Parts: sequence; structure tokens; C-alpha cells
Amino acid sequence: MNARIVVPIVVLLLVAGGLVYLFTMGTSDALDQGLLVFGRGADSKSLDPAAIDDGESVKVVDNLYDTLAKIAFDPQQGRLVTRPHLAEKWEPLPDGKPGLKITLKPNLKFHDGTSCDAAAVVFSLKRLAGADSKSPYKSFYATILVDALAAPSALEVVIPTNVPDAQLLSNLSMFPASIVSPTAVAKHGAGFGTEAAVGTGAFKLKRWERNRRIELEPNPEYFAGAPTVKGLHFVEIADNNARVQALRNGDVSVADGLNTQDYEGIQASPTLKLKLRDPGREISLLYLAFNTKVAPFDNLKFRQALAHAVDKDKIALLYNGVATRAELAVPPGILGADPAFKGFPRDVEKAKTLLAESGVTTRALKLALMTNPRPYILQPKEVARAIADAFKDLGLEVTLDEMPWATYLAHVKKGEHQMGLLGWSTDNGDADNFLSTFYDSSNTEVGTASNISFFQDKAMDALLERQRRSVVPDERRAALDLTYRYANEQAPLVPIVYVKDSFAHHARVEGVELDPIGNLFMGFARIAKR
Amino acid sequence: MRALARSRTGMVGGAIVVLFVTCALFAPWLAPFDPDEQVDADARQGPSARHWMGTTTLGEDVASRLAYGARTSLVVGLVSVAISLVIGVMIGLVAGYVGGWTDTLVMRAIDVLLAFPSVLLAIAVIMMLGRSLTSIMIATGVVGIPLFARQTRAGVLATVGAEFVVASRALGAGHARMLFVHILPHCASPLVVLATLRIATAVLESAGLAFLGLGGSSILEWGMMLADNQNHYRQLPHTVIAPGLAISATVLGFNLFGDALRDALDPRLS
Amino acid sequence: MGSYLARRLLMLPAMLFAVSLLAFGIAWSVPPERRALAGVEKHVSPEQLRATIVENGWDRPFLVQYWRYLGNLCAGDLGRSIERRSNVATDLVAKFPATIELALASMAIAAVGGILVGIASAYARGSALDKAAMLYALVGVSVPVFWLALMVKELIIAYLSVPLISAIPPDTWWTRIETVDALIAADPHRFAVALRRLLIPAFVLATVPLAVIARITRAAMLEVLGADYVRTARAKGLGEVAVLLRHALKSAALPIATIVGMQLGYLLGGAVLTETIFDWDGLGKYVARAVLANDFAPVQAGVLVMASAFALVNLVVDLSYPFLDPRVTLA
Repeated sequence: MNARIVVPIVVLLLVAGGLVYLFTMGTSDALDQGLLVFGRGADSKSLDPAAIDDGESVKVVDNLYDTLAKIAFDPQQGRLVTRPHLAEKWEPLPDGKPGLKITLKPNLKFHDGTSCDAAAVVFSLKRLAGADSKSPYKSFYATILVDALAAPSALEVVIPTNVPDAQLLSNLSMFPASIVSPTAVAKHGAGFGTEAAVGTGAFKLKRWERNRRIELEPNPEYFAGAPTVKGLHFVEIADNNARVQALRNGDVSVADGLNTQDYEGIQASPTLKLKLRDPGREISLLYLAFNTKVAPFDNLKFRQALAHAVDKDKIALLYNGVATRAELAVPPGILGADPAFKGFPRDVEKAKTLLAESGVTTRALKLALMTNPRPYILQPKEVARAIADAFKDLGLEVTLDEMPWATYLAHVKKGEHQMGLLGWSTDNGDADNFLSTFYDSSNTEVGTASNISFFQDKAMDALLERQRRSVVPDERRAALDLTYRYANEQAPLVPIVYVKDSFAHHARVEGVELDPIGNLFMGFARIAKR
Repeated sequence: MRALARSRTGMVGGAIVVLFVTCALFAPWLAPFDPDEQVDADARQGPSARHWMGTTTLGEDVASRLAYGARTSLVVGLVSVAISLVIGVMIGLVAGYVGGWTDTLVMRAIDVLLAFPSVLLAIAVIMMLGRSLTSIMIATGVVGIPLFARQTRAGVLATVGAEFVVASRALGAGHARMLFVHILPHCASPLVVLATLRIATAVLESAGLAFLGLGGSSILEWGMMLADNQNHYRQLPHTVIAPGLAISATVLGFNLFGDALRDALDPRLS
Repeated sequence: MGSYLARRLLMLPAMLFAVSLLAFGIAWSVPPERRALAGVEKHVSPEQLRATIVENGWDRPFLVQYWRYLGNLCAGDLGRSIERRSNVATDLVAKFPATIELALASMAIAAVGGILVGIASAYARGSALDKAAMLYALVGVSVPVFWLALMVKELIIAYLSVPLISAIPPDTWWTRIETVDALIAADPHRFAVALRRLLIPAFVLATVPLAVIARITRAAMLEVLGADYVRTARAKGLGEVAVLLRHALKSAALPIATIVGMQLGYLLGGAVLTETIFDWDGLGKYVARAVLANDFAPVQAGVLVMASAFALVNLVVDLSYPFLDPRVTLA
């Protein structure tokens, strides 16, 4: 045969064969190595439970630390209950004083080997609720008498409160109340949360490559049983498509924040499973906040006009079936929610009237939004444009101000915005978690505010306090109803849609379910053999 | 002109350019819908009788957005090339005419500018000016300056020794007169070609910059349309294919026309 | 030889000076108040603001600030990223190799592919192959690379499951260029995975430079194919392919080398777009994200590094002229 023909053909065949092999060869063997990889849309801000309030940070924190109690769904009672976690039991304080006495489980250890005892609990709570606390959740623990926190014995903690607090246990189940290692905090100071993150959790921090991945390794001495997986990694993949791709080929074993257009494909795939929140049990909300400290949003009628203009149904359609119109700022899956409540309907004429009555002459508004997709808003710019279009009907011109997530969060927390889009997902399954976050005036500290409407209203604070303290269910329902009506009328924010949260995982990953309050605890995950 | 007509690719290019300019100029009359109008009932549709190129997820008409996008691209292309041309030609004229140290210094500076990757230079400029369509125009304009400077200087150097120039000088013509009346017209043809080709590049570069979000969030630009719809490709492929084809076709048109122009005006250049 | 070399070498510091000036300009254009507030979470009093400004020297004249910037550069301090709260120099070291990997791979594909196509076109001038190749060259230059990347990403990747991130972080790395590290580690599977990840973005990024290189190669080859010594070589009976490759290519080496060098600039710039679309964790994506966050330190560093790299490459290309073509005397 003529070498001039044979050689090029052989070369071509080799190259073609190589390419075919390359593109069809077995995918990454992370699962075979026992590695669980979680793909999400943005990196954590910090690993310090007392310094965060964003969902991404919480995901990792849930796996590094534990709280005294945990929220679980009791099928027999058909509702959410609080179960002991680090605590063995709790009881009211003697002599009828308000507060709790908690007895810890024995032999609890932090990742650094030090013992997790009552002193550590007192330290953590002081750090969370004390005057120097940087936590955006500080106000939730305002009833705790920080100076009177005591550890009468190694396993007993006394938590006195200034008034009877029906929410105390639920709040102690939330991630900000995670117990941290005093030794580690003393050692790392301000670096705790970035260089080190020492708790009692199922996983320990191995390494954090900013904006890339967080590597956790199992804690062999975890009190609820050491995890069977060899490692848990959190990877940032900002692009929704890339994340699904990574899930498909096994580079990522669990992923959230998926595009709805991928649901069908995932459900049809034999190697993937989709976990989607049931309708009517949503726990996440998307809302439009007005910065009430900035004109013209300090004008009540102006806000009400805008609230009557938002086209919630249209925005729900943009979510391809995973969102429903929101009438109030508490999703239906939450204790205390009122599915029958009706907020303002879309009524352009009424809106125009209100606008005229408000006397506001400004016609140019700014809407800040994030560029990274979030679980409650997969296409931020589209939603923003739909809102802008709705406001156009009132003759208002809206300019969009896009920023990457971390920058955006800082922006709205400092109150630099006029309007902002944000979401919230439950931390403890209770309505107060939403209401206090959104409307409580003590959550308006510049830089850490979670009340990004900066709504400071005495009447609202009083209503919030009342529903917090109501122990009798009917009393609470009545208090909540008043709160919902007042919140709707004042309109510091407009709840837009309830979003069904979801995540997808590889079929070989077992033991991961959609938690009733959305926790993504991976301690019980197992990787099945091929 | 006849030479131009003889080139088939040139005619195709020219036709595309004419189509593009027409769309851009007459968009308000040609577009069936308001490009920003969100018609909820029609949202998420493929090409149909009512919407020739389909609609987006928000219910906007893709064809109308394309037409107005052509407007934006035309403005960007023209302004950008205008900046490059005016400043570049000035620099080139001065450098070529004055010569000596001025020439060396100026041309070294131009070489330095030319040695920057264009996207990076544009990003740096936009970072300094803020994200807007104007910034994109200025940035792409700045990127193009060295090309016009170099071309003009070459033209000046080539004509400065010509007989008629020396003669005019001898007759006492002033410098300005020399430059603008005698020398510049002789540099004109390559500059026209360069301008045409540069419009193509400017449109391409600005689409890329808009895609990255450097034009702000609300501009109506083809690159921006691509960025907005990139996650909808599977369900609404037309929202991604249409703007991409528009960019490609326009750039191709200007490239073809420019090449043919070069062949026709001065065969020596090709 | 001497004066060309001297002039060319002198260009490098001039280039680097200009690059540093531009990079500095990015930060300098930010009002001092905004710089002082950047990344600060709490409320800051006007006195504290003033103190921060003075402490960092942001109210000093342009030249003083520039001098300070140069000093920081020499000390390896490239500032901090506000959005990521990280040290920019560290980020740079972590991300630049990925961009180099993509740029070199694209360059290799574009150069080899472009030269082969150019030679084939010149050799088979006027044929269908030639026409097709030249059509591709023309269209290739007109198509926006980010659109191509998007379409490719959807069409091919959706069906081929090409991994876009590396799930298992490498335990060991030397150059941080994954393909090279895999070779150093002598791990064939790791190399295969790295290669697979690299190929599609590299091919997409290579389409435009390939088109340009093909066009230039064809033109250069056509100029040379009729030259006397080629005819002589043909007459002497050397195989036709050998004739083409050895003599013609050598003569065309100069313009080809020039264009290859220039295209690297395009690749570094185009990296910003392509890396964003393929989620390639390099300097381009880093800069693109920083620009949207008004985070100027990463943009400064990115511009500085990529532009300087380009300048260096061009210098190397220029200095290689006498070796490529003995006729060039560097006078």
C-alpha cells in the first residue's frame, strides 16, 4: 500500500478513536471515592453561624455545627415540632422565672478536641445575643438576659429571659444559635468563620478555596453517628446550566437552584432524582423591598400604589410552574401562615389613583438586583424587567442596577438601594422568622440589616411582639392576622411569589430528603455501590 | 465603481449593509411592535404569523427588538469609527507631516496602544467611565485610534515627496492648506476602506462588551439580547439564534463590502 | 542587528509602563470616598472616611499615587478584591495558569489548523477546498465568538456530558495547569479528564485565529509558490510536499509568526468572553465578574497581567525574526 495514503488515514483514525473514547469515557469517579459534592450558585460568605443570614452560608454551617434543638416534622401530630439535639432535655426555670434550663448530652466534643460543655453553650449564646454580636439574627435572641446566662454544672445551662418567650426553643433551633468552640474563637479571633470553623457538627472544615470550593471531611466522633461518606465538598458553579451539566456527569452529586427547564430531563433520567417541594407547602418567598428611608418610598400611598401595580401572576409564569402568587410574606408551609389571606390585587386604575393621591412627582426609580441566580429567583433580570414593565403602566421609569451576589447583599444591607429584590427561606418553620426579619425595627442596623426595607414602625413592632408572646393558638392566630393586615397595608415590601424549593441528586446518593424547613444536612447521606 | 460592481461578494456585502442601515434608520416604522412591550398573552412563542421571529419569555417581539438593536449597532458603529477616525487621522497627519522626534514619539505611543488586546483596553476604559452604551462607544473608539493613525501617517509619508506637493510648498501654501487640501485627499481611499472594515469590528466588539454587561442592564443591543436569553436556548432557541445571526450577518456584510472596496479603490493594497 | 534589537527591547519597558499606567488609571478614576467605603459593612462617620482616605494616600496627587502603586506592585501587593474578600495576588496565581492553558491550547489548534488549511488552500488554489476554506475564513472572522460558544455549549455539551468543573480537587499541583500537572503526576486518567475539559473551549476560542492564520498563510504561500528557487527545487525532483513544506514555509514564516503573535492578544482578550460562557476558571472570568461588581483591584491586576503577557509574547515574536528568516538583518 502507498504509505502516503495509509499513514494519514491511520493517524486520522487514531485521533478520531481517541476523541470518541475521550468524550464517552466514564465520568468522574467522585462518588466511587466516597465524595459527596454539592453544587450551588454562589459561595458562602462566612462559616461563622453568628455572622451570616444568606442561604449559601447556612448550607455549610448546617453541616459544621449543631444547635441545642432541631425542628422536625412529626407525622403523628401532622406538624413541626422541636426535638432535642445537643440538649438531652429542657425544663422551665425554677421559681417560675421566664427562661429555660437545658441539660446537655454528655461527652460532646468539638472538632478541635475540646469538650462541648455548658460553658461553651453560654459562650456561644453570649456571642450571639450580646451587645457586640455581628449576627443579623441578634434581635431574635433579644429576650435572653445575656449577663445572667449561667452554667451551674458542666452539663447544665440556665437561659433566663426578660419575658416569657414562646419562640425561644424554635429560635435556639436556628443556625445562628449553633454552638461554637470557645477555644477556636479565642485562637482565631476575627478569622473564625474564614480561617477556621470549629463546631460539633457531622463534618469538619478541611479547606476553603474562596469562590471555588469548601472541603469538609467527616467527623468520626459525631455524637449522632459518624457520616459514612468520605468527604463533603461545596462547589460554586454560578451558571445554572453548568451546574446541571456537572450533576449529569457526576462531577457534582447534589445540586440546587436548578432551571425549571431541566426538571423534565432530570426526572426522566435513570441516574438522577429530583426532590421538589409539594404545592401548598412552600417555605420560600420572593419579595420586592422598598427602602422606606429613601424618598419617595417613605410615602405610604406611593408604596401602596406600587403594590397595586406588581403583576404577580405574570412573574409566577416566568418560573415554569414552581412558583405561585404570594398574598402575604409568609409562605403556606410555615406554622402560622394564612393561605386564605388576600393582599392587594393588581389594579392599575387604583394604583394610578393612589399615585396621584400620594403627591409624589418622582417618575424615575431604581431597582437593584443580583446577577447570580438564587433558589427563589432563577432569572433575576427577567423578574426585574417584568416589574419595570408593570410600573411603566403608572408612568414610572425603572432603571435596573445589577450586581453580583455578594456585592448586592452588601448593597441592600447598607440601605443603599431604592428597591431591591430578595428572597427568604424559613430557618425554624415559624411565621415569626419571616415577620421579624422583614418588619422588626431592631433588624435595621446598617451593614447587617435583614429588614432591608428599613421599616421602623412602633405599631408594627408592638404587633410583632404580641404574636411572639402569644402561646394560646387562637390568640396567636388573631395576633398574626392583625399583623398580616397591617403589614399589607403599610407595604414596606411586596411579597411576589412563593417558590417551591428543590434539589436534585445522583441516584446513588441515598439518605437525602427535602427537609421540612429546607435544611440540607448531609450527615446521613450514603453513597450506594454501582 | 465598476470594479466594485464586478465583485459578487462585494455586492452581497453591500446589500447586507444597505439592509442593515435601512432597518436601523426606519426601525420605528418597520418594527411591528414596540420592542419593550411585554405582551403577556404572546409570551414564549416560536416564530408565527403574528411574530415573525417569535417572542421572549416576557412577551417581547424578537423581530422588533432586532430592528431596534440594529439602530443601536449603527449608532455605536458610526460614533466609534468617528472617534477613531477623527483622532487617529489628526495624530497620523501630525506625525507624518512634522516628522522627526514628534513622529517617533507619537508613533511609539500609538504602537503601545496597538499592543493592548482590544477587549482588555475596552474593559479598562469602561471601568473608568462606568457601564453604559456611551462608554462602549468611547472604548471601541479608543481601540480603533491606532489603526487610523498608522494608515494616515503612511499615506502622508507616501505623498509628502510627490511633485505637486513640493510645488505647492514652493508656491507658499500654508501647512493647514497643505495637509487638508493636498495631502489628505490622497490618503482618503485607504481610510474609507479602513472605516468600513472598522465598523464591522466595532459592531462585533461592542456586542461582546454588551454581552458581558458592560453597557448597563437596559440597553437594547444584540449582544445584550444574547446574554438575556442564554438560559432559554432549549425552549426558545430563536431568541438566541436570531440576534447571533444578526450580528454575524452585519459584520460579514461590512467585511465583504470593505474587502471589495479595497480591491476596487486600490488593487495594490490587497 | 544592534539597533533593531535595542529599539525592540526598549519597547518592552515602554509597554510595561503604559500598561501599569492604564491599570493604575482604573483605580485612580474611582472617587476616594467610594474607595474608602468599599467593602465596609457598617456605618462610617465622615471623620473615619477622611482618615481612611489620608491613610491610603488617596488624596495625594496623581504621580504620588502612581509611584505608590508601582511600589506596591514591586512588593507583590495587588490589592484586595472587595467582592470576594480575597487577596488579588493570590487569586491571580491561582487563576492565570488556567487562562494560559486555554490560550496555549487554542493557539496550538489555531496555528496548526490554520497553517495546514492555508497550505492546502494555496496548494489547491481555486479548487472547492480553497473556496470553502476562504469562505470559512471570512465567516469565521464575522461570527461573534460568544455566540458560537453558546451554541456549541448547548448543542454538543448537552449530548456529550463534558465535565466543566473538576470535581475532585487535585491533591498535588505544580504549574496549576491541569493538563501539565496530570502529565507530571503521570496519571493517565487525570490527564484524559483534563484534556476533555479543555478541548471544546479551546476549539471554540480557536475558530477566529484559525481563520486569520489560514488566510495569512495562504497569502504568504501564494507569494512564494512561484518563486525561482521553488521552481528549481521542483526541477531537482524533490517530492512536491517536501518542496512546499521546506522552502515555501520558511519564507512565509515571518508573516505567519507575526500573525500568531497578534492572535495571542485576541485570545487573551477573547478569554474574557469564552471563559465566562464555559465557566472556565481563569483570569478572564475573574475579570468579567469583577467589572460587574465595580471591583477595581482584580480588573487592574487582570489588565496588567494579560496586557504585559501579550507585550512579552510580541517581543519574543519580533526577536525571533532573524532566526525565522535569514534574510532579515534586523537593521
